[in-house]
Amino acid sequence: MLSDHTVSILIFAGIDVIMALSFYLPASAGQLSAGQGGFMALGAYASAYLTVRHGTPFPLALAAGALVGGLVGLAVGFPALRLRGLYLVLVTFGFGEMVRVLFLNAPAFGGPVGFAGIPPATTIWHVLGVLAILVYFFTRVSGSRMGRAFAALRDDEAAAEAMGVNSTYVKLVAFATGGVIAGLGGGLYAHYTLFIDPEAFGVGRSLFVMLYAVFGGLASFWGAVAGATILSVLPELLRWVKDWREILYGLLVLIMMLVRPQGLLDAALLARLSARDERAAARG
Amino acid sequence: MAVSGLLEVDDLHVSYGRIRAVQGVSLTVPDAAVVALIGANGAGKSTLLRAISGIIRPHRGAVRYLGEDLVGLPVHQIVRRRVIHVPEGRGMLARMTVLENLRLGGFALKGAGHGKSDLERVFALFPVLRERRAQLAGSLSGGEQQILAIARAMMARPRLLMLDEPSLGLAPLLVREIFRIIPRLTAEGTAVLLVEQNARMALQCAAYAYVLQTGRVVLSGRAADLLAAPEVQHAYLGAG
Repeated sequence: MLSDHTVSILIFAGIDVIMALSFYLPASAGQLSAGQGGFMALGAYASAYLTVRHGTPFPLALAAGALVGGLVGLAVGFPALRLRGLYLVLVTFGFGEMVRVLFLNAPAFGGPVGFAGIPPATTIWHVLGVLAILVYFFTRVSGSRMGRAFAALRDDEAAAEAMGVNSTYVKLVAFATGGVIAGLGGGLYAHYTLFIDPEAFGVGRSLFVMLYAVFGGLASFWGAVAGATILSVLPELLRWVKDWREILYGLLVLIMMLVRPQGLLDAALLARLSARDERAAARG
Repeated sequence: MAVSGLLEVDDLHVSYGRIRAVQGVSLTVPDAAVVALIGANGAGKSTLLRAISGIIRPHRGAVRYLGEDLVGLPVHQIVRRRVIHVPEGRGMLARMTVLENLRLGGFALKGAGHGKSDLERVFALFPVLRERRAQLAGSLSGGEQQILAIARAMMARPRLLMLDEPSLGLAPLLVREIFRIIPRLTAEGTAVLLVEQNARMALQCAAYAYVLQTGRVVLSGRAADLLAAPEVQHAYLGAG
C-alpha cells in the first residue's frame, strides 16, 4: 500500500497535471493564458461554497465549479478575441489578479482569512478518474475537426480562416474549455486541502501552471502531462539537498529550458513516434 | 460582357484608410472558366481578391455569387460557399505535414466520408504531393509549396478558386507546371479567378481577362483578343 504521504504527493501532482492541461488547451489554439489560477480559484470557491453552505454532493459541486470556470472562461474569451501574444498574456494575468482581489474582499468566502471547514472528499481515485477522462478527451480532440481548427489557428490565423475556420468561435471554445478544466482542478484541490485562501491561486500558481506545460512541450497534451508530473514530484526527489532544494529546482528548470527550449516532448520526437504508428498501420 | 456569371462583382470600391485601392470595379466570372486579372503592382488586383473573400470589407458595391451578395459575410462563411482564396505567399501551415495541410483544406466541408476520395482526387492531380505527404510543409521547395497551396484549396471542392500570383518567385519550369495545372481545375467544375504579373502566361490560359490600372478596369474582353491588343502588348507583354 502507498503511504499517506505518497498519496498526497500523487494527488497534488494529478491536480497540477489537470491545471497544466487547462493551460495547454487554449495554448494549442494559440491563446496563451497567464490566468489559469483565477479559473482554479473560481472552481475551488464555487464547489467549496456549495458543499459547505448547501451540503451539495461532491460530484455535483465539482461539476458546478467546472461550469463556473467555463462560463467565466467564455467571458474572458471575448476581450481575448482582439488580442494576441504578449497582450493576451497581460490581460489574462490581469484577470487572475482580479479574481484573487475579488475573493480577498468577499466576506461570504472568508476574505483574506480564507475559507475553512471544507469536507474531505477528494481521493486519489477522483483525481485519476478526472485525468482518465481528460486524456480520453484530449486524444479524441487532437484527431477531430476541432483539433485541426486549434492547430491551424495556432500556426497561422489568417490561413486558418481562409480554410473556413471560424476563429471567433474556436477561440471562445478554447478559453471556455480551459476554464472548465481549471475549475475541475480547483474543486479537487479545495476538497483535498480543506482550506483555501486567495493567495493559493495567485500569479505564482498561474505561472507554475504555464511552466509545467511549456517545460513538457506544447507540441502535444502529453507534454503538459509529463511536465506537470515531473515538476511537481521533483521537489520530493530533491529533499536530500535540504535548504538548497528550491535553488536546485530552479537551476534544473533553467538548464532544461536552455538545453531543450521546445520542451521535453517536441514535434520531432512526436513525429518520429507517430510515423512509427503510421508505418505500423500501413503494414496492418 | 453580358454573360451571366457565377461571380458578379458590381461597382466595388475598397479603401485602406484614405488610399482608394479599388475604385468601381465590375467583373464577371462565368462558371468553370478561367478569368485573368492583370495589371501592374498596386493596381488593386490583390485588394479585389481580398474583398471578394471577405478579408477586407468594401465600402461600396456588391459581390454577387450565385445571386447572393457576399459583402459583409465573415471569411469562414464565404469559404463554406466554396469560394476559396489562395493568397499571395501561399499561407502555408509550415509546421504541419503536407497531409495535415490537405486535411485542413477540407475543413469547410462538414460531414464524414469525403476526406479519402478528395485526397485521392488531389493526389491524382498533383502526384508530387503523394510522395511528400509526410513531410513538413515548411520543408517543401517554393514550387511544391505553391502546388500544395492550390491542392489544399482544391480539397474544399471550390466552385470559385482565386489564385493570387501563383507563379511569384518560381523558376520558369515550375511556372509552366502551375499554368499547366490551372486549366485542369476547370475540368473539375471549378471557376478560377487568376491574379498574375506574368500577363502572357495568364492570358494564354484564361478565357476572359480584365486589365486593372490604379483601381479601375481599363480593358476587358476575351483573353485571346487582349493578347493581340496593341495596348496590352505594349504595356504588359514587353512588345516594342
